[in-house]
Amino acid sequence: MRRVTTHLPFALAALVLLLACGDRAPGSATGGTVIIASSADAEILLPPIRTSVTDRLAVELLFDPLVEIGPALNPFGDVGFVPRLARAWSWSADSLSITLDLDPRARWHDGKPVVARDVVAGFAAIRDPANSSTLLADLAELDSVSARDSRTAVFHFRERTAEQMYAVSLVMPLPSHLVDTIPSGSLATSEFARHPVGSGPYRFVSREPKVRLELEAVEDHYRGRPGPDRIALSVSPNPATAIAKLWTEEADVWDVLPPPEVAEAARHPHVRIVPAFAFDYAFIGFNFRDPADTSRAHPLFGTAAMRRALTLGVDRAGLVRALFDSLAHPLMGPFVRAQFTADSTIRQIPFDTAAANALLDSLGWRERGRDGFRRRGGRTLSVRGLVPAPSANRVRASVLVQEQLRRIGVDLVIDKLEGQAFGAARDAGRFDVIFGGWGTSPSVRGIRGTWGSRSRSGWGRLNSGSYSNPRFDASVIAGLGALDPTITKRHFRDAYQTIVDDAAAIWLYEPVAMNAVHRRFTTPPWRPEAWWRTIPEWRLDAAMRLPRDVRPTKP
Amino acid sequence: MPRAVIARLAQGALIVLCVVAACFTLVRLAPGDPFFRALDESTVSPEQRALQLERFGYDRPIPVQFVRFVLNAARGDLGWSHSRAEPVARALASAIPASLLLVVSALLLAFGVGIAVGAWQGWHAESRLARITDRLALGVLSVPDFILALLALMGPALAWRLFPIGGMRTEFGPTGLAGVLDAAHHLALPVLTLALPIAAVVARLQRSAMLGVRDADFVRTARARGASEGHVFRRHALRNSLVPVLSYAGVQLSGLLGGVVIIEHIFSWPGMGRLIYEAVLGRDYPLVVGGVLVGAVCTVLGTMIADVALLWADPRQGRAP
Repeated sequence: MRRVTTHLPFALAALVLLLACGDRAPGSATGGTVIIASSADAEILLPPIRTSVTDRLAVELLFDPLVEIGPALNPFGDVGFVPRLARAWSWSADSLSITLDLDPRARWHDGKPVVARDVVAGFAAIRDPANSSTLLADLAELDSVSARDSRTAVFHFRERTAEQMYAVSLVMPLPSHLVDTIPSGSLATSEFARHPVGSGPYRFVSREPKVRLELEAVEDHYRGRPGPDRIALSVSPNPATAIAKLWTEEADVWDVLPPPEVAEAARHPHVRIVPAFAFDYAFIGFNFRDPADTSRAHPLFGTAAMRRALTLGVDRAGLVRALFDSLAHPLMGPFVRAQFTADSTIRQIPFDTAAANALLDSLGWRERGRDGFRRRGGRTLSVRGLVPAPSANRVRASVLVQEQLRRIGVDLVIDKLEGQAFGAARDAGRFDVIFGGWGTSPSVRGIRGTWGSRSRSGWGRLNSGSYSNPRFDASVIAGLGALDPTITKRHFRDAYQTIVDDAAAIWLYEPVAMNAVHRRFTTPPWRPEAWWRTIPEWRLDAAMRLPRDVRPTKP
Repeated sequence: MPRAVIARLAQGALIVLCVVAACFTLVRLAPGDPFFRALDESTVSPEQRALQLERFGYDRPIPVQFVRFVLNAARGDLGWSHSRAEPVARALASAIPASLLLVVSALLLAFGVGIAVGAWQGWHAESRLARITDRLALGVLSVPDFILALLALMGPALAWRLFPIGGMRTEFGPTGLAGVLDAAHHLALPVLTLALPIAAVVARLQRSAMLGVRDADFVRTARARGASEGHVFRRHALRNSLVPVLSYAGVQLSGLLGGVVIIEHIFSWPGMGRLIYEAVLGRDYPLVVGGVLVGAVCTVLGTMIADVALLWADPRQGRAP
């Protein structure tokens, strides 16, 4: 008792401090207009058929999920998952089904209540092959969704996995009273797609394709009135123009500033930089198959020694410093630091040019031509590197790597291709090495598609270099199947170490996302995987209002 | 004359058909397809893409697709824009007025200023000011349009904040008359950037033409008949010196379509140039072809209008064998 009284004043002081440091700054209020600058448009506004990140932004403001992953971004089990349209859930005894109790206060933007049939409609739209939903691969273990009564939806799984609740979070209900009449395959071209009726904190107002999208706050939203009154996505195809709008206060947010623009931000006092983890990473992938005949092993990279030699010859830390200064981290494997399975203890192949040279010598590439490149049997040690022209970072990285490889006598010929041409060449395996990049998510299931063996059903769809190691696959399967997060992490550590030891790729970098926000908004902690989800909690500093923050009164 | 117009129209229609057919084929031969997400967003599986290609008939032979396109286009159906999620006709209908506003404003400004300055320079060729303005025009010409656009963006817009950065209007900005002024404010920089190089070319063409006619016999005769200097300039010298400039106008219309791509991209102007550029990058087949169709029709019509203007300025052109 004495102990408590001694600490009470400190506890009260701490509480006062905590409240003062919360998301409500002095003078902060609801209201205001958030203009999101973007170089890409939200082309699709419906959850089952959305594809790009900008689509997600719009969709997740318009539609609420049943549950949402928590701030720890732990996709395993259900610890930390936050109720949304479902206010509670329970597991069956065999863990093969999850029963969700829908929030009776939840309404569609047209006033109709959200019912279990809407959950079934949301999943049916994902399952309809004519919709080509990108979510389908992530819901492979979900067998069906049924409506027990108007307030209860049940998810039935084929097998138990660690990410069942995460799968539930991907299914967004659709208003069955509106979508049930849309013929199969016509969802994307329907009137509903152009004027969506959602359940999220913001409702659709208007859209001018490739120009702007306008949303407005749902005053009587079941989760409470969102902070900002209005949101506009302002599209400028040229990123420099889009970012410049932030400097002139014509826009309020830009996610992930390019490194040179971070310094520019310091010149504009109304802009605040919010660093956050990113979910993208870049690598140089080796092609394990011969580009001329994919049934054969690659003449150079079919053996681990050559892949290892090239990895030893690349100074990844120096490259990251040159490209990003401190705004990126060297990559440790096919994962990013924000993922729950990230492991900083993975043993890396070091930068060691002496070891690289010795290894290349041992492979018979001893002779040097006049150009300084290694030769064997009259053939120059030359590799073709596929680089996407739209990615300025990877183009710059390719030039630096070209120089680093030249020093160990390897000729890297850069094939810089426009976006779609790059993608087509990548998918066809027409490269020796590829300057690739993947966007990930809190879930680690995607690794099956990017690095898993193509021989497994449903795996390796994006594994364009055809990397394959049964031990890696087995570790991933074991990790995804384990219901204890500690065991999952252990299996994934084994998978990561296996692929790094195999030198399947030279792991380049994962950027630090430097996001820019107008200072008049007070924001809660930045969510790296979906920063827009916190917009309803943004608060406006009344003293810094701009003319656009004044909402015209409705007649 | 009507027969000549009909012949020109038929010729124009054939040109449009050839251009559209070439574009229709080339865009389909390029790597990728409308359902292919480039770079790191290849989340749609090849099977799903194949299904979508089949649904929209892109898996059929190109000639079959082309015939279908022509038949649909004849009924006014230009297809569905995959990158904009709306019918192509609607996408074009929203982009054409924006481009027209930009191009017509730029052309009026460029030809107005260019003809006035060039004619004055030619008429007063010996003056120092004429030489200085001629060098200035040469200076403007030597700067590529995209550099000019970026300079305009960095200086007047970004550093001095005299103009908005881009777009057609202020987000949640004023309406009514204030809204019109706001649109004009947004229009100023793209129009200036587009018009300046054309005005410089027009001024130099006009200057050369004026130099050619100012001492011509008919000008001297007009003076000898006692006409005022202003009358001689306007009625005799200027009208006759307009011929090469009007010929250039016809060519410029098609050239502008290429020029607006860069200007619209940099200034986020939602016009035809930006529409076609983004459609090509996204392999949005129907939108690319629809955009090229409109562009080709505009070019053919523009050339015809320029020919008619030429006939007005120099009736002898119509009598040429």
